[in-house]
Amino acid sequence: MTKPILKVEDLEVTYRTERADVRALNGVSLDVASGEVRGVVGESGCGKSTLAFAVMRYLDRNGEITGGRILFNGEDLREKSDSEMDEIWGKHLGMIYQDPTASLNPSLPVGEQIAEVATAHGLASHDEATQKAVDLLDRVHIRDPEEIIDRYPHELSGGMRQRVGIAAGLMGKPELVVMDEPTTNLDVTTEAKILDIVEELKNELNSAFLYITHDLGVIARVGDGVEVMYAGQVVEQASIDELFKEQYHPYTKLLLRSIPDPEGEEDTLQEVPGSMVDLTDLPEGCNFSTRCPFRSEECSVTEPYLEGKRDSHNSRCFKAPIEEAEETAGEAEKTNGGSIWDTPPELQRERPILSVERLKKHFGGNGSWLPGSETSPVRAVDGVNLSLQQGQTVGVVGESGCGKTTLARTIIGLSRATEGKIDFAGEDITVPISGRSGQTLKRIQIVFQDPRSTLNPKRTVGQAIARPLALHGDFRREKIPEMTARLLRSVGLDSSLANRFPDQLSGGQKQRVAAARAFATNPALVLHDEPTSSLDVSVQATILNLLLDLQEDSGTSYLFISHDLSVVRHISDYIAVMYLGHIVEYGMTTEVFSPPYHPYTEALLSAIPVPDPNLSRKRIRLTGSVPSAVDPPSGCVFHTRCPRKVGEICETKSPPVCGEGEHEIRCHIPEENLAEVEPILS
Amino acid sequence: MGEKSLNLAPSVWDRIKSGFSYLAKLRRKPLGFAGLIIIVFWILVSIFAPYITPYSPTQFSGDKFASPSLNHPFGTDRWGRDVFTRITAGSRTAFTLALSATLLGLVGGTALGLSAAYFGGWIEEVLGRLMDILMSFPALLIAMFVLGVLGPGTINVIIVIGIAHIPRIGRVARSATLQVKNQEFVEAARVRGESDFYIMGAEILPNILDTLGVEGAIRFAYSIFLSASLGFLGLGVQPPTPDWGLMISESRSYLQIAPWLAIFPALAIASMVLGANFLAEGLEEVTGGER
Repeated sequence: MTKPILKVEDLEVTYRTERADVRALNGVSLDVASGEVRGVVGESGCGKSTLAFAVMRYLDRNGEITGGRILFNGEDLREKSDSEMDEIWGKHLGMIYQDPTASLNPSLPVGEQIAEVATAHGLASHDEATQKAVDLLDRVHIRDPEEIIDRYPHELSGGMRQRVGIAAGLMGKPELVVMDEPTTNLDVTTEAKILDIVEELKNELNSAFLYITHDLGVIARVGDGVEVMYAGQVVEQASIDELFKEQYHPYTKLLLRSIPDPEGEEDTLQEVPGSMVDLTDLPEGCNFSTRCPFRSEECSVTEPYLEGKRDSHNSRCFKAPIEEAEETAGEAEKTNGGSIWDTPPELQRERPILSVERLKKHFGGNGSWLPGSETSPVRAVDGVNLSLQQGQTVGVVGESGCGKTTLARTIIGLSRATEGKIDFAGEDITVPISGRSGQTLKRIQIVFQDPRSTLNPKRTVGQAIARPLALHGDFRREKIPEMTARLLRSVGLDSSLANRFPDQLSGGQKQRVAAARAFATNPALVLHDEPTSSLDVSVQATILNLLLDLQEDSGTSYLFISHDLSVVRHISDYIAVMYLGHIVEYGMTTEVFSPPYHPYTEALLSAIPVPDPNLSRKRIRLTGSVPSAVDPPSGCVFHTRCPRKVGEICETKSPPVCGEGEHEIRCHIPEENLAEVEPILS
Repeated sequence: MGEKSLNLAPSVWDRIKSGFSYLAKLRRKPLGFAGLIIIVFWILVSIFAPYITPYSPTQFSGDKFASPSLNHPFGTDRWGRDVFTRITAGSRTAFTLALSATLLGLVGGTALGLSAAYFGGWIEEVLGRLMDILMSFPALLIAMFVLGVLGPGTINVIIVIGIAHIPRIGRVARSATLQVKNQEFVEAARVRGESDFYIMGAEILPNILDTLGVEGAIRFAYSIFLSASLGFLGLGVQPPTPDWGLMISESRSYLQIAPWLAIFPALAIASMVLGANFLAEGLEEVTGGER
């Protein structure tokens, strides 16, 4: 092993807040060597971003390094003055941020921003630096870099901006690059391309990378070593291969099992019990002891050290490695406390509960009354057919901008359909909310994406759940408190939470309340618009398990919108893959995940980050970005990016439906040829 | 916990407690706390005004133009009325006018701003342009014009100042509503079929109250100022009612011989205006409301 370029020793960071001092990092030690990508993973609040910013000396004003050393090339960065840091930043130490929109200056062409890194350090003249910026953009696979350098950040797509961010971070040829969730805001196909670039750069540049992420799948792709963090401490450190082979720390083990497996079918996801500890109120002994299913008495008395059980594989746990036999304690049980309704609904299967025919939703496009002001509309949803049987789940998956959210909003009535028909239990509901009957409103509900805005901050949990009961319930008013308590229990919450306000709940608890609110009216159909995408994986697991349990009890149908194929695979009976307002593939979950594939589905599947470092998959990378929905490509909408384009026919004729039975693929390639490919995931 | 007794809403006591927690937080904001103390001081003065001094605000109590002394701390005016008594009694007039006018402006401005933002479209356009027109005239000018037509008087002053506040409060209410109206909890309410009235009143309004409170404090300060100006111009409250603006106006001719006649009412106005503005600043920091 080469000498580490970065050596963090016993690092302590404290944030001073009005309430108390919060120790965000508590004795973190790690090494990063040249040519290595060292991943730092953990749930939100574990201190991983604080670590990144502390190493960069970019902490907020109320944050302070209160102990330890940050040795970079043998020198302690803590002792550097700001002007000395100016010399180091950019030239020796580069950073790549989560949100390139915020880190790039909106009023400077991107080429200038990249070149600036070199010119500011006097490393190159303006012309040389510009030439270097072009080379770097070429290296991060931006086409026509000479033209791109004159563009402004807002003229680039999110993936392009992130590549520009990477180029700027690498401009000074830094020995260490800190990457803070660089792909978290990107679509999976774009993420896959960025990860390819990181992998290439690692091999070419011989720089060291500190890679912060919440996604174990991403680290499995690009990492060499990994630090798992919990409550401001490293709880396990290992090489990638060792970690994914065997997890010594129970937290790592549970975390890994809470991820829905894109390759397989599991009945229930492992849940990590409880939620992240309060850093101002840490338990005695091991920080994880309050949530650990394997804890013994020792754990809540003495604090474990990070120690090696085998050479380079360390864990902060007395019991590591955990014997398989002890694991019964970790089995997830049914999370909800009994069903809400006394009699389960009878399932009728003769006809679908929801059927959508040739649905179109176009935004704008009329222009005003002035002549010549007609503009083309945005074709968000452009001819979608879908049907949903009672008690079943259809997953709608696709990248941002594919129209999946608009589809849900049009079905629920928040947007008015431009064309087509929506039929719900025999009633035509192709009208916005104001035109729908009370019965329909009651029977269709929605669970939104953002736990922060899904509940009214000024109303209690009890009020939030009681309101739909009062509005739609056909029972006496005195029964409302009892029903509210029952609903809370059915989503696995204690009824004493009823008089709490939303800001006193965790993200996962808020999504549970949102589910209870949706189920209060005993709906026949619940739309889920990315309900878990802003939650940690461990919390996501509990919510997915809850939704499946609720469905089992109530026979409710789900339309589940998500960008995450693994999540959709876990929860859905049928999957619809959307691209640019069209459903390009539809079928049973197992059918969609095995050949024949639509070329787009194939590309999506090959891009999912899988938490398995040994998995070698065919890499299909889409070129370019999603075309504008104002002027979608003619013929097959996917032809501009399709790696398997047949020829002219793709550009001129819209593709026919092929496939067997319920499995439908819209593609010009004959089904036999589509079926010939190897399965991407086993 | 018995399910029958499950609390769905915070009790009145909880609400009062959360109200006082704001005030407790104000203690850590020096400026806001100073504002609070000034306003509380004036509230106490106006409540106990008749018991503070032995004199009546409208009765003669001694020599004319007596300079400040132990008997008459702020001196007496040209009729021999005690200025200190008139200042304390004047605080009642000031509060009555400013509070009523602010309340009128808050109700009207919130109703218009909230519904304009909520419904959007042509309603928003029309209301917005109307507000712009109203706002393009200085409030004092409109007030002078309207009072010139309607004639002076307490009620008319309240109405005129209240209406002058509507565009600005409406603007604040509109921008606060725009931040809330597309949040998911509002859409959830629409999806379950709530009426527009319910959504505006029960879902949106509670979330813009903090902002409206801050704006209300600023408008209150402005009301004090405007009513004093109108009083000074003789368009406001009529004599012999004790009114600070009126007192300054009456003192004009005697500035040389009895400067205390102008100084003390002016200080009273200044302290109340400053106090309300400080309070607004403190509230803004404490509640997270925006101005």
